[in-house]
Amino acid sequence: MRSVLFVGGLSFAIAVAYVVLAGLGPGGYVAAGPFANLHGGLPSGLPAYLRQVQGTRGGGSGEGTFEWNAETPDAPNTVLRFYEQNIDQKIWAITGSGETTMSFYYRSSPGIRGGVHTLENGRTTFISLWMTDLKLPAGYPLNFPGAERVRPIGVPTNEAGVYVARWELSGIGDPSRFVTDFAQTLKDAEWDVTALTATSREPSLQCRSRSSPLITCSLRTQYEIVKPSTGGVVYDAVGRYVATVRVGRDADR
Amino acid sequence: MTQLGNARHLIGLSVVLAVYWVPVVMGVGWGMWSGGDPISIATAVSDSVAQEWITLPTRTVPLAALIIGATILALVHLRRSAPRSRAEVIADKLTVALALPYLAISLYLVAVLTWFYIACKLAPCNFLF
Repeated sequence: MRSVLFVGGLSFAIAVAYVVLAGLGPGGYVAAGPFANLHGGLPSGLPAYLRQVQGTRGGGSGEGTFEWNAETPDAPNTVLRFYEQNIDQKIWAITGSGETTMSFYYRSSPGIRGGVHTLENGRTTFISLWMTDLKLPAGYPLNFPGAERVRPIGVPTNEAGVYVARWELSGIGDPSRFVTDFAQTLKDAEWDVTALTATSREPSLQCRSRSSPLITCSLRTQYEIVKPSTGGVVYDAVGRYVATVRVGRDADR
Repeated sequence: MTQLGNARHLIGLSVVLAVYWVPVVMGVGWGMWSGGDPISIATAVSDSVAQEWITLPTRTVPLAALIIGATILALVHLRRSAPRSRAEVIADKLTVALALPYLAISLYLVAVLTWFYIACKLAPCNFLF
């Protein structure tokens, strides 16, 4: 019996030590607030859109992200009006809602930004309800929306009143489409897009807050090589698309 | 208290058994991450065990040397004719029995990687992986 306990205890201890040292666990990020205890459901305060094309519901959550998708015969406008009326605004603060998107943040932790993205597709509308912990610091403009499927790289810095955040776009694929979609999200969230370049090698945009015109933004995407090729027979360089987002006074200069 | 000097067979068995704990411990960790309640933990452990077993050797490369060492030691002791306690023999047999599936999966992955390397050597593979 003692031997069994010895083997069981030692083997488990080795496994725990190994998982911790090898970084195979969550790495200190333990779910709280809107990401916890979902069990395939939606975060509290965010309702499902009920009038769906049968069998279209789905979703998933990852480290600091959540996304839920559905398809409905209703128009985007109808979907967004539904969410304006039914999101629990004690939990979520809506910062903008327009033609095709809606933006909100989690009141308990404003670094968590979310939204509803709609895409009209002939007779149906695709709905994406998402939220992401962008790890934004206190003071970051509350009305500046987040973007679907981006992942924060590090914590935004504050350079003379301008917040500089970096977002990984690996979950999106095409940076041109990302910039075009984000321009629409900004417009819907009461920001004027003052410049938009979606066709160049490094798509970018600039914007200005309608409520505080001194607050501007710039977003520039570029491809970064994270790990250069080792020169072997297999081209093994690793890269990613990254968006650098600057928000603050004269951030577009 | 088990004397360390007399526990070679138990330590060897523990090392081999530890590798099978890894997906379970990972699942518990991710279950804690996704809520920490029994349902989240059970789901995460179940998913982790289901998803990790085929890639287990790639996740546990640093442990492979210890497992191979423990298996060789167990085999050496099993082949000795000197009288040994029943517990020691059982532990060594279990060590070998538990190490075999792990080593078989490792060999399979090594074979696939070798084939991939040779194929790419013959016709360069210009893609990310």
